[in-house]
Amino acid sequence: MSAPELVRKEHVSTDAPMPRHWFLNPYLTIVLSVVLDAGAQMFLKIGADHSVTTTAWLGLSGLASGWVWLGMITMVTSLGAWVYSLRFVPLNIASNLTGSVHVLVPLSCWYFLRETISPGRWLGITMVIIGVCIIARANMRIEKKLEETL
Amino acid sequence: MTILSFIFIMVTQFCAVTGQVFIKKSVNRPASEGKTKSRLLLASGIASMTLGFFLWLGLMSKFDLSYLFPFEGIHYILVVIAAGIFLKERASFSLWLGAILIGGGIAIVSAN
Repeated sequence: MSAPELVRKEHVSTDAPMPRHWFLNPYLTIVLSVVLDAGAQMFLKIGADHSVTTTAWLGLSGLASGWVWLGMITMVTSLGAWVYSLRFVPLNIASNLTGSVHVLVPLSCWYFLRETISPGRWLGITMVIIGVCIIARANMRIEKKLEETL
Repeated sequence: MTILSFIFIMVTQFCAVTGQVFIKKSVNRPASEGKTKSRLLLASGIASMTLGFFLWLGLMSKFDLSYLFPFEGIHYILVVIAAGIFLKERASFSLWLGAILIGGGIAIVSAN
């Protein structure tokens, strides 16, 4: 199968070609984005608990909290890393890979803080990990095929 | 949980997905087509995400995070649908299976 046919069939699309250096690899920046996002969520929750009033639908009063600002800076950095990776990776793949942030937080609590995880939560964590692996593996296969064709 | 709060939760998800679609459209526009529209798309994407962010912050003050987070699971399904419609990204069987597992898994993790 020729490269254009493969692009049409698998829709490897209008995305930019992969960067040469390993440290510019978009999948690495997705991992960075996930780690920063997990940190941002925790900072924002601490900030929201301290400052946001329960009467307003928009949490603008949260801007008075340093935790919220720290959370926002971390989130913007995470967004920057993610936008960078989006130049090279299709949205439906990049977005789903970032779903691993939802297992990173409970797993960190279990590993570092020795918190217990209920069987139901283990089930959910396993499902997310399997889902991420399925998408990552399928995508690696497509990219390898494209690389060989080109 | 009122209907209004459910609507707000769904609006935050739609804002996040809309923002992502706009940003993706912006970063993949060919340079030959000019930068103005690309910047406009990027600004619209960030504006949409910002609105969703402040709504989410407001919701976090009203509900426990463990209660709100299961709804995040919907996001991953919505992205696959939106990317298919607006970006013409094809979703393979593996991608659908992965997205459903991730969405369902997140809902279960958060609900427990």
